[in-house]
Amino acid sequence: MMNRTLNQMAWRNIWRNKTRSLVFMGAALLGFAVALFTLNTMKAIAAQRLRDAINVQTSDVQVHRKGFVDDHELTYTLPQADALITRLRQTSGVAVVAKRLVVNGVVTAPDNNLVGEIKGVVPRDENRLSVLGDFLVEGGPLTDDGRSPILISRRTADKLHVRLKSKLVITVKAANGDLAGGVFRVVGIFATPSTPFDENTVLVRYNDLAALTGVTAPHELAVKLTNPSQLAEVKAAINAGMPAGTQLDDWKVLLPELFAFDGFINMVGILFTLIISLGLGFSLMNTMNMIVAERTRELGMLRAIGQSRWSVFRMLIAECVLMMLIGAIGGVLLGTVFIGLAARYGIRISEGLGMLGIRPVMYPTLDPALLFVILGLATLLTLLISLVPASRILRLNLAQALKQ
Amino acid sequence: MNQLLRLAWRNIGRKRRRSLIAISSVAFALLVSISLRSLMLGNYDKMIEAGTKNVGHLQIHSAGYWTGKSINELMTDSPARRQQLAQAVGITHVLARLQNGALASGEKTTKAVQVNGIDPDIEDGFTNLSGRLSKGSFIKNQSTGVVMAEGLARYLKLGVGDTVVLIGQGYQANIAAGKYPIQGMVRLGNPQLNLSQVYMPLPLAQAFFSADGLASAYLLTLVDANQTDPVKNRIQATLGNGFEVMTWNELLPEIKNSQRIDTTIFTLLSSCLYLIIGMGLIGTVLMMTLERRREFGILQAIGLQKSQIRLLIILESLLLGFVGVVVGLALALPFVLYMNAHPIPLTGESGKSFEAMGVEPVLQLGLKPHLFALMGSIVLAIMGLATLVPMGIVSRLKTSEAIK
Repeated sequence: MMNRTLNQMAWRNIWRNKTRSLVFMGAALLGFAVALFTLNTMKAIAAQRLRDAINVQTSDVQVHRKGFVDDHELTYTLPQADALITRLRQTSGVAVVAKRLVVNGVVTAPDNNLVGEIKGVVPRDENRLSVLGDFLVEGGPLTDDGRSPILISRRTADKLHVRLKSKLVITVKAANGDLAGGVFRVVGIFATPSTPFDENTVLVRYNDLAALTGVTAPHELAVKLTNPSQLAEVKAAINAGMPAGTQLDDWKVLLPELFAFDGFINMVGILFTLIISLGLGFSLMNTMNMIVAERTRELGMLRAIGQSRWSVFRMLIAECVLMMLIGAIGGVLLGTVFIGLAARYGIRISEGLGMLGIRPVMYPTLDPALLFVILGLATLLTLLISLVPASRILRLNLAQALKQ
Repeated sequence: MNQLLRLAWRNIGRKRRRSLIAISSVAFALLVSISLRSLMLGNYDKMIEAGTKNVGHLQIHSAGYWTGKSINELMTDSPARRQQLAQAVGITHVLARLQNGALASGEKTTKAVQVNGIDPDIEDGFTNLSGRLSKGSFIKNQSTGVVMAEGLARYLKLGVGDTVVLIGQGYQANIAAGKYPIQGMVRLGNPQLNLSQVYMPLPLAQAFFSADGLASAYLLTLVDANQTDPVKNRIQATLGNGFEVMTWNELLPEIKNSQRIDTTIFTLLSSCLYLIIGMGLIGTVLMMTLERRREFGILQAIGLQKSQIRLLIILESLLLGFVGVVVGLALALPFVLYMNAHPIPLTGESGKSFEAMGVEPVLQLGLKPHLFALMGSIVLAIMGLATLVPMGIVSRLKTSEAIK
């Protein structure tokens, strides 16, 4: 028989028992919609968290002198930094290069003090590289004007009991081994989604920190790429001409816990898909089982008038595939509508996850890779399970089937 | 009733394959949800255990201390006061600590550190810090030296017997400065702590910070870890408003956060699974009714009430669900018991990240009897809901038409 006819029969068979088919398709539809929506939201949260961390804390790639990442030793500055910066800026795929000084020190206010990381940044470059400006809640970003400005976080401001325009004293160990202190004035207060960053970091101008510590060469070059997905290529290009004794690290190395969290979310996604496929598989298995049991005589008849085992089998599978696809595509459409609504109105994430760098309100957008996982993987797995009862038709005993 | 029950049981046996698939889907859902949740809860228990080893079950500070952790917000400490607390009901240990940040200098390098003034004997009985000793000897109450985390000592290029210089802010704007011989080194699991902790006897720390008779916190451990809230309220009432009493839950929000993320993921995953399994069950129950319209008609014709037929359907589906729950629990219980007794050791990256949190790197399923009860009753409730669907069909059943 022609495929067309088989498919047509399969289609009509679906509607012979409307209730049963509709219940199954409903299960698939709801399952797929909920799965797509939840997985997409989880991925969106993980991705947003990662993007925020990369944009505010590390940037895509960083260059350090070997050993600096582990020790943060004041004297581990980059050799021939200016030449390196020029070369990096000329590398294709590199959008911004910013030099930084990173020094541990004590920030002292009249009431309290903070032991943390003091970052010296070049305002012009840093404002193009980092999105910290988006998280300013008071005041403005660092600029080249004014005397010794400093950016601190809302948390630090609360802890130190200081406000905009308050004076803070930074004490660091200088290159000559003495303790050096300098007065800075708060020009801006930020609040990023990441509590650890907020609690530990203050930002000052590169030149001010250089004058204080006596260290002029940078500890760190932060590199932002034009297109973050070209990470491997750009890294290779940069790596080709790196001076000896320096190292290039991407965000995966610099933010290991976030990279691990990304993996965790992917694992949850796979688990989710597997469990849903198995759950739906049971449903489809049962439907197929009933179909085979009810229609034994009819299927036997098809065989008797000359259909091969395989074409009858194929017809049954076509029935499953059609039901599955209707449910899956419907579910994906419904899920996409949910996501669209969430992207418009936002999902309120429970408060207090700032510790993990999660924004309180999420606006997820659809991740196309998920469509592939859900539509492809789940559909395939579910169908595979339904093959078990369907295969009974291959062992059908014609004489007995017709007697029923 | 007895007869109906027998009838129901036999009806389930009539379509053996279908009943088996329905039962296995219920059992599968239970097995998956219980195992997954047991794993999460087991992990959570381990995190709490490790966490409370660090911060105690309860902490007492001077009111407002925890937000700023300022050296100026200390509380008076005396043996009498500790004694008094230790005698309160339900408390096993009282540990006094005086903690603040400082800068530690070695030969050439300086690093921001946390100075912990501890009561060595009691602290050790609780946290077993001396068990982590890698070199030298542990401090005693009268010691004049310090114990340093190994990573920090390596960074400062100091060994046992060398002198470390500590500089920081003392109580009420006093300068805290001193030279201390390193008496021993401890290896801490968390890399960040391993780079930042210095321990000294409480009297020495009080002298260093010019804070005689003062402490920043009392750590309390309880006989029963589940009694934190009542004990907290009792202590808070006794101490009055000048103090804040906090539970480990408030002190370690990251445990709560990670549990919240886990719970959300689990709730979503299991509702998705139950939704799909539930729809499958509805399909099964529906088919059980629809295909037997004629049979029900005849049952009515020979004198059964509609209510009895309804009861029969309810019994059949509840039996199906009940058998599924029993099978599911019978599979889950030995599995969870076995995995609880034989934890899987974690190696590689994930093992390291567990160690970093001070948590034993194993996957161990927690034993939570209430979880079995909860999941079992959810599945039975779903089954009960599924039986509502065919009720309408029975009501609309017309004997005369049905037996045609």
